Amino acid sequence: MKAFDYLKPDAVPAAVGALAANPDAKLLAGGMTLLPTMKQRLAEPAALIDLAGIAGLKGITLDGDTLTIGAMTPHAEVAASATVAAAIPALAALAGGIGDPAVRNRGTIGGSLANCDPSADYPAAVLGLGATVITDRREIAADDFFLGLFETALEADELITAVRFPRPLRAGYAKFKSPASRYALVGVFVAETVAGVRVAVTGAAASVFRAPAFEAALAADFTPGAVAGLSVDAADLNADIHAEASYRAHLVTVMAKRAVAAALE
Amino acid sequence: MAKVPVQFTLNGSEKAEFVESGATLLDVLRDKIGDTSPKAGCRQGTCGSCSVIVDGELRLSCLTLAETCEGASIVTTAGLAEGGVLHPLQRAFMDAFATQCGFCTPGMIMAAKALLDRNPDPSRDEVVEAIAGNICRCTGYEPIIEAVLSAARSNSISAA
Amino acid sequence: MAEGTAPISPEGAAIGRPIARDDGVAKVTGRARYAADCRPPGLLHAVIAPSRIARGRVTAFDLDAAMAEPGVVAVMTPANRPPLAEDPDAKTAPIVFRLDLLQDDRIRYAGQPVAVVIGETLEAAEEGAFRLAPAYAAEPALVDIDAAEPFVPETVGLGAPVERRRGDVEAALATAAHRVQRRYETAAQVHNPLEPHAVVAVWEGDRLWVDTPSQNVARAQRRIAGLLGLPPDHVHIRSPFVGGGFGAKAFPAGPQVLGILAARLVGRPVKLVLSRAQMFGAVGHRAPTRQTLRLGLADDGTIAALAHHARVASSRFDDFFEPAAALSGGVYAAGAVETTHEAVRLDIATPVVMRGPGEATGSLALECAIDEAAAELGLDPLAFRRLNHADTEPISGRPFSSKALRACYDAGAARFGWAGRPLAPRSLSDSDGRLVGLGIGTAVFPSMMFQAEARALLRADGAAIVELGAHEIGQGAATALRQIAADALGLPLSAVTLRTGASDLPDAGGAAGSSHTATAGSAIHAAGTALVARLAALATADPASPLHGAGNAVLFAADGALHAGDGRRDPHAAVLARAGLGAIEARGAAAPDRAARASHAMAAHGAVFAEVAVDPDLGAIRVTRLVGAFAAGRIVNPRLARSQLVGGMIWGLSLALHEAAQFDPATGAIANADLGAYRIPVHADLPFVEALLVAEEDTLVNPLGVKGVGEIGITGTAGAVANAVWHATGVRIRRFPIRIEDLALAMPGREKEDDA
Repeated sequence: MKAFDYLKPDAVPAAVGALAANPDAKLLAGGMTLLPTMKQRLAEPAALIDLAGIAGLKGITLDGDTLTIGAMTPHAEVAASATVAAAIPALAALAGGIGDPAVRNRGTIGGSLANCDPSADYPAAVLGLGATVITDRREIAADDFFLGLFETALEADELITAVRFPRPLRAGYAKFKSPASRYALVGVFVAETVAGVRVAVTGAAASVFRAPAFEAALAADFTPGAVAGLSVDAADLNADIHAEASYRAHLVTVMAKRAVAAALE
Repeated sequence: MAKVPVQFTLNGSEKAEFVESGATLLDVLRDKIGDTSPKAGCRQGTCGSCSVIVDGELRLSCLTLAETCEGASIVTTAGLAEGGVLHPLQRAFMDAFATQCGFCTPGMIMAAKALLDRNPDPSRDEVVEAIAGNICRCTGYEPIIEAVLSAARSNSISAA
Repeated sequence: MAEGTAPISPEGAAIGRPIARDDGVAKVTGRARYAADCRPPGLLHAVIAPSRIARGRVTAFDLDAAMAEPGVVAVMTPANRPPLAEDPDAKTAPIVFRLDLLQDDRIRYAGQPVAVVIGETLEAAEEGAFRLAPAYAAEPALVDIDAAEPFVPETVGLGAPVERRRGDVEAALATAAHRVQRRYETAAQVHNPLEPHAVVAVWEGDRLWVDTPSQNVARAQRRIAGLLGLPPDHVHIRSPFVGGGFGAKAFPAGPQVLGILAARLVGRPVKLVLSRAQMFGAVGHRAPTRQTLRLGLADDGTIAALAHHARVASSRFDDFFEPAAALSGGVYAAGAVETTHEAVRLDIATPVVMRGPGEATGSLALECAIDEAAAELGLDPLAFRRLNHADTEPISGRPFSSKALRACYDAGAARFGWAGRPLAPRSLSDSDGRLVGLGIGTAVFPSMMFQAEARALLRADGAAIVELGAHEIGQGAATALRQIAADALGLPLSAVTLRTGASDLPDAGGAAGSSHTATAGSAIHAAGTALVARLAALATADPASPLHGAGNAVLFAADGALHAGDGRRDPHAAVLARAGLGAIEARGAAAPDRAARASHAMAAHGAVFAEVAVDPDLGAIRVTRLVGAFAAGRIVNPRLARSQLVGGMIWGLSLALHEAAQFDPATGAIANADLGAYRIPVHADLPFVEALLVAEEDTLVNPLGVKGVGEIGITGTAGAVANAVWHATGVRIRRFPIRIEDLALAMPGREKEDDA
């Protein structure tokens, strides 16, 4: 890796200030994506701003029907949280299925969302549950947050501090991992909320997206059978060495069925 | 090249090193301190050979910046045997023929220890999940699972 | 579990025992020293800059930028690379591969080393290599085996015939009652041992010390000495532990030599370790194949004709042609049989031997075709295989030195529960609604042997040191060979020390071809026998010995003593003490018995049974059970042997379902060159695998009766898994590894089930 300055601020304003002062700096959360990227010279930040020293970015709280997860909370903590399991069990299950134990120990929800990898799991939950991304300066609705491939609504010097999830009536997540590599080919998060049904698909396209036809069908009949005959247009999906677009389209339907079944369990 | 001082505990011993900016814990352990028990199988976080335990938590040392380990307590496979007596996991890996070429073994043992430290009586599925990030090219994993379950049964992990 | 091992040597106290690995403690404590663990004083780190194009030339480097990087010590390019005594493209011996050692500016495959950057730290060298930013003049590259023009090579494998025939296949096909013709595809694969190739090179004048993983230290020594113009004994190669090789470390690879040259250039010790991505480059791979099987079948179910033709890929600049069809000359009886090959040249690195080279891919195609033939006849696939059991080797007519394949079928089928398997595909399902299928494959691997030497030293205290340049690559050689040594010397295991893994020791042959126990073990056996004979001569000539006057012929060594048949004994230590000798030494050599090998076919055999469950919605395949039964002559250590067999079976499963190196036609590079995207199974992908050992005695194959177990597990297994997938789904996928999308999109509601 190219040499860089290592900063470890102890408060959000200091981190944001450092980021604003140094456009070539990057925020370091768990580092599970950033460090491999830097090793491949795909990123060469002049400075790394380690968020691990900032108190208050980590933790899980439930206030009424609102679950708030600090940006620096690692996946393993979300997966093991009794609070999350009670409020949104599908979210705990999703966190427990990310990567492997070492990745879950370090990877964070804030890092995952800021990175916006097309095959990441958390974006499906955030979009599927209609969550709100809280930053140092504002709140961003999930529907406005994910813009494209590795692209979010975050400004260059903006820092995610927490994510606020409304508790759904029921929700489920199903994903299909590529054998051996465990690469998430397609994941579908389905939630029935007081505001309606939401279906979010990750892994299939450049960025997580909602599937309106699936939502409408489930709003009328929240059963796996309701989506069995539906499909997304393969022309909009990724084709790569892991799978062709037509198979990804097929997986969206199957995973949607399974997510609904999981929600009904 | 910018160097920064880092102090941490490795297998109970205090270590103080000047490390280059960007140096990983893996390189500091292997090249500076000389603990070569963590192996560099991919340096990309995809094989698990470099697994160590940092403050009780399983970590990929190839994706851990040494600078972030200031004040940490680090355990590697080299530190498991006490007074020449093998840790129950080490004994179990030998007895179950859970090592062949041996290159994945130290990382595998770390992943297993991280599991048993927080869950002394894991199910088979929990063992499988615990080593899901560790690749073995020789054994087919079954003897490794057996070794971890057997070490758990031996019920003497608390001595570690 | 069958523990049967052939009791050939009743006096043997160590052979046949499932003792723990000798290297166990070193490995579980992390003390086992692999090459990259060596840290000589003054060490520098070298990093290879690989080519990003597959064909063309390097036109420029940014040397200034690389040298400006703090910590960079030197950049080695064709302009300043130390001279070589031999052209690395010269074929200086029958089995030598051309190496890329910066001899010029041309690029012949993606990932070819174009420069080496040496730095004070690995980070500095890596950054320097990145800054070097080579510029290229690229030419169109061809990496598609189907798009290239084929030709017939002179030989395949390491000197095997490109074509073999017995009988008139075309005539037998023309008159056969049934004909089956099928084409199968297998993908390129990469060895990917967990330990990347590494070299630590230290020069002292014109002497060279090299720590590097090797499956053949003697061969590496000869090659490196030849390239550098040194006497071989000035090159000291140490390879005490090898973190997996699978063929990738059978021949010294270019990057290992480049590390040595880098140390020469800078005059300091240098360590060079390949990155994982570079493991997909200059250190070999398994070539892709296209295979066509033609079978002519009689109404009674016998095979009248069997023709196996394989197209394989090699590089443009060197010859290694995967002998994919060759094994079909030895598996099933056929009225007429032929095996033929053609090859294409691509802009890729030269493929090399990879666990079961030819046998793995060839067995997959053959076992699928046999299964398809059985289905054509409406026969149970196991019954069809039994019916066509080859009592002699079909391609040569030679008898087998031993062949317990029928017993393997029996033992495997009983353990697996084959009886009652419905004939029709898509007949079974499990409680989760998954489609269940059962498949079988016959396993076979030739019993090879090479030349080797060993040295045994017996000390006055009755302990022995046995030395030879053998290789512990994970297979357990260090343990098994010590067991052989103990019995050969008539000593308890605790009294025998084995020294291996260095080129300064007698040449033990390579750890390749599943031959190492047979080859190195036979040399140890010979050395031990020679030493016991010397000891016996001392004892019988010594009036003070209880054995005085006894004929040598009736003496045997066991438990640390010489014994006569009548109960008289004389401990080894006592014999030496009375003779006033501090130690005695003997050497032994082993070589294949040419006459026996000319008159007999020699191979290990087995039967593998697989059960799979297929998700009918996704096409996702889960192998739920694998049972193999293997007869491989005498088994030196049943636990080690089973470990090898199980490991091989996992490779077979992976060949059928997982591993494919995918060449990007646009760049010519492997697109999935990392362990995230190249699918090496993790445990979640694997079933419980069981390997049964079937007793088999073989007095011809070598003095020990050992056949080898390292590679046979792949054969049979890949086909068994593929056949089980067909049995589960009714869909026959002939492109491997089976892609779940091929299966999923072929499955639902298809009228014609056999048309994938």
